[in-house]
Amino acid sequence: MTTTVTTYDAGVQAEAVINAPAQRIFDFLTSPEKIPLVMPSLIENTNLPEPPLQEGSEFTYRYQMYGVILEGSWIVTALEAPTRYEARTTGAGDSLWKYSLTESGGQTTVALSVEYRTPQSALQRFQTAVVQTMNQREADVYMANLKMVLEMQDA
Amino acid sequence: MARGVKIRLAFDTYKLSYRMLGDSLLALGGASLLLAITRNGVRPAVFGVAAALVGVWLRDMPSSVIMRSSDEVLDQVRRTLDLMSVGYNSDGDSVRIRSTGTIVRVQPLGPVALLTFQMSDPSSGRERYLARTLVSYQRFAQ
Repeated sequence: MTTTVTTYDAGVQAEAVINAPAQRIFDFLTSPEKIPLVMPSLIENTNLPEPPLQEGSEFTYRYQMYGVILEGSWIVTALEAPTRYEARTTGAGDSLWKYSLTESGGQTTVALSVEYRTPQSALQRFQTAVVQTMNQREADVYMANLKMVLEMQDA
Repeated sequence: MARGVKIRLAFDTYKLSYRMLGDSLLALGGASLLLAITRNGVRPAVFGVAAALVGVWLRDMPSSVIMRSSDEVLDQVRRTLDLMSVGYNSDGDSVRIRSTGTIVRVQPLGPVALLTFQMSDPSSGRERYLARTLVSYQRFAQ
């Protein structure tokens, strides 16, 4: 039996402190139809499974970068409400996403970490661009938008 | 290519933002001024200055022309706010967002619609985010 181990050699981290309970943030993050509201380059998630997401749930993402649309799969790998959510992507780029939520004093700290493989050739660089562009700025904007939308919601 | 990878070009044809129109007029004005300098012409200079001034005025207007009927645009504004779980009050052709005070107005322009944002604080990140999101989600209008 052969086991394939994916190794990631790059990554970004971003964090937001949000004035909202961890459960509300967790519910938002695990609603794939809502993520394009806050992730700037994500156009939409489709082929959504029945909610709620579970370990092994899978759907298709469409991501825009430099005028090109890329598609791939998002696969949930770990879920512990309301503190932990992990997933990996395949297709347009292999990456590993980890969210951790820590609630304290009415605020919740959301920490996002994305690890990905950097491409080896120019062609691969194009193919895996979806994860390359999830650079630090994109991650920061994503977290800032998440904070804005959750703090605008009716309590 | 990895299995399952699909790549295609992205074209947005559902909207025309005043910002984009303003940028185009600014570029046209700049080109006309360059022409006026190289040809020593008065008309291109006047046209260039006028186009640039209109461009600057337009690009700061928080409005977009959406290539759909005003009813479809207003419905999509409400659907997007519902998806965000952001509270609002509807009043005819406009919607007022409770947490920011932003007023979103949809006016018919023949077969298309003008989507305009009246912000209580134009420098507010929240209001600019709302405007960006409500315009970009018009791509999903039916």
